[in-house]
Amino acid sequence: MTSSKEIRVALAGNPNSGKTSLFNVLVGSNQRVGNFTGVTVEKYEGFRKYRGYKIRFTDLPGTYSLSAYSPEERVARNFILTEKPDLVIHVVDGTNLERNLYLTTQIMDLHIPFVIALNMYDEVKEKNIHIDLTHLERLLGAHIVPTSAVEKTGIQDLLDHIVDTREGTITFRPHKLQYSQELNKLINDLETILSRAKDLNTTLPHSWLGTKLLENDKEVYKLLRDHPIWITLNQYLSKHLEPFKHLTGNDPEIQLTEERYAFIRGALAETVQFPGKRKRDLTDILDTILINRFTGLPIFALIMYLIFTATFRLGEYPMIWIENFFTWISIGLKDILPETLFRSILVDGIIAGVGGVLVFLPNILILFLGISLLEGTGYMARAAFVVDKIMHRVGLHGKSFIPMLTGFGCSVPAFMATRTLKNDADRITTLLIIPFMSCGAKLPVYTLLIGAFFPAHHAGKVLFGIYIFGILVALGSAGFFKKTLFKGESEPFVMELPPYRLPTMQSLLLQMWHKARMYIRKAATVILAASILIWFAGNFPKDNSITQNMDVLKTQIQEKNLSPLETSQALKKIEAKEEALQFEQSYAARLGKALEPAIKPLGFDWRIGVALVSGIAAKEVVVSTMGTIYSIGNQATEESVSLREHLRNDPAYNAAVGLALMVFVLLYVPCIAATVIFHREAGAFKWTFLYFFYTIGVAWIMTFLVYRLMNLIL
Amino acid sequence: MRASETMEGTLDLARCGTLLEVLGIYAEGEIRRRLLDMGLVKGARIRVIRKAPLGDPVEIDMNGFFLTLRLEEAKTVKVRLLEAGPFHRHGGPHHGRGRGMGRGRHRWFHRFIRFPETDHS
Repeated sequence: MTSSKEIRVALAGNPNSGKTSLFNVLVGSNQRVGNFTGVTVEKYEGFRKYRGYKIRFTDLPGTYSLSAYSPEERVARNFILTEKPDLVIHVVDGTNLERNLYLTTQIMDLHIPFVIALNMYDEVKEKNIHIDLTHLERLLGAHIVPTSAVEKTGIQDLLDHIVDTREGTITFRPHKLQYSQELNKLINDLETILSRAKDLNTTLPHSWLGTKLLENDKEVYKLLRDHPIWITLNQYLSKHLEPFKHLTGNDPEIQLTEERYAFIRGALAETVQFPGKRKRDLTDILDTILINRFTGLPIFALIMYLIFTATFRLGEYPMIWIENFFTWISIGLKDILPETLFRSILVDGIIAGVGGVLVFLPNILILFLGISLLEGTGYMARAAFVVDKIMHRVGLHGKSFIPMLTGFGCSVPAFMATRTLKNDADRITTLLIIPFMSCGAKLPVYTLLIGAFFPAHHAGKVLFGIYIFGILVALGSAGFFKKTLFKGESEPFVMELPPYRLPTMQSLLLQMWHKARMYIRKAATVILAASILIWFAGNFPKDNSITQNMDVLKTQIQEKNLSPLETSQALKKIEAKEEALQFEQSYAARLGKALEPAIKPLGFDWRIGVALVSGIAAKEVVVSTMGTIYSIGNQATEESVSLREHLRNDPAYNAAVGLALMVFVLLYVPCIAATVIFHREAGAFKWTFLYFFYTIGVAWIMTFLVYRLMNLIL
Repeated sequence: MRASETMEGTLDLARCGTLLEVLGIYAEGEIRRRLLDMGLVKGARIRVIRKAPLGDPVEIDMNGFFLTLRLEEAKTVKVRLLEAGPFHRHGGPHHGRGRGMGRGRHRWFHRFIRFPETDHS
């Protein structure tokens, strides 16, 4: 009988109340992260064995309120109301009671057993704030356990409280929040009407439904609107709302909030003593330096620069190690195994695929260390505060900045970083425009094309222009999406600047671990499968007649009496030719050729088409594919002179084609790994389709314009 | 009654350092819900701390809780001036206990005050 020994507990509280730190202290590493069903809100679950019980904790998203506007709030309240945990631990920041107790008043409305963990109690004592706990307990109708996640105090008391509640040695006596006579009458009447509706199939407390009706709660409206009782409710409301407004001078929504705050202020006046005037603390001092009018932007730029550099410059070293490691394995296996199809699948398909997945890990780990540091210290909110005006011009949130900046390095961590955006419209818009921030893998393509078609003294300008062009397309797209798809859905920017705090090492490491785990578990298999598929498309079908013809040529050369050097050069040439011919009739190349009519207006021929198709595997592959097509071998890099010469001397190409190709590579759909992550973060196929067709559509139109314009100029 | 008691306006027009009392909210829907939830209810006292380097959003102090909101949201909050900032244009008494930016700044930077300035006494 394990289930009878199991206690389900949910943690609810404000953002920045130390709720997650407390959760981490409670469960340690016995935790995992998932998603609440249907939304991209992270769900942290963990357990702790205590006094013979297995206590299962769910860390609900931090909210200030339980209205139905944000997904976090809906998730938190639906979890409490439908999953019905045995106990709710309401985590309250003891240094900021007025703000935190507002959520308490909403939890009181739910009539569920809860206990208050008065967190940051060490800071409360340090600041000489005296709280009369017994009196406050009486007023709130819930027990209060002082805790400190940082000093790990009160944890035992909290666990004891959970078990005692279960065993019945502590009983929870729900306490009704007392509203004014006028409000009470409305709520009581609505409650009576609702309880008379026998067929109203809900376990939700009727008084809560009544309160939420008065607050114009969308979800509760939806729930009751289709029910016969709605007619009675509607009649009652239309009859009594006007007199109520007349009497109180407020509509019920405002009146309710005002009375909640009046209750809080009254309760605090009775129970809390502050040690006189608030002193200037560390947060005040840091803020005058970090976000003031003059230093705010430079410091922001510096911090962003540091994060970007750490993620992509520092991350480059482990990436090289990973790449070398997998190359080493491939070479080793090629030596051991005979040249068979199996070896090709294993080495070029699977091992290359695994390496291609793992190579993103250093970026992800470092970036999320940085993001957790920014969020844990409290600077993230300041960063959003500082750049919000710029971002808001195109309808985005200040917090969109970090994902967009990361996009210049790599779209994979950039897509993952959009999790910091809480509002769906902001998040999806940011996801959709990140592909236009030119990622690092596109640079080799630009280098090759600029080297081939532009004089050296223009190289810098052209490259810079491409990056700027990407940013402009991104910003324009953001404005476009905000005006069309997400019209009027912009989230109000009402954001707390939390006190600066030092995050614990444990929470930083746990964050990194969760991100890495999520990436490996949810994305790795799909990326791996896709890489193998792409490898297959580029290598099959094999045409044996090509191999036979080339073998004939090879024996001919060997029969000629050439010097060993000349022989090996000639053989290499033939092998490259063979590779080119084999590739030309592969599935990938057939697709590229089939696309030729579609890309002809852009000045592209089938060879560019083939390169672009294989670029979906990874952008830098565009270069090596061109190498293959031109029979230079697949080892061609952007620096290789022969490939550049080939492109320059090919009559089919000129500067117009070169620039057009750069624009197309800049804008068209990111690599397969990024696409997989996009799908995971966006959460619905409709967004992935939009992303796919939008990027390709924009790429086509822009390339067409650039190509035609260049032809006019040249 | 001092003249400042009659100074009413919306939050977006308030100058850094001023102490204000909330009179009500004009907004509808989600913005209204958010502002109410954050405690911008009638009678709440707020102090304007600073504006972001680019002038928007604005940061306010609500009894030790620091909140930022965009000017377009602040525009919907009706307020009454309780206490001028440390550098009132007309050199009024310096009640200033504002954090940071409000302090020690030349009035040149205080281009935000738009409250009707009737206090010439």
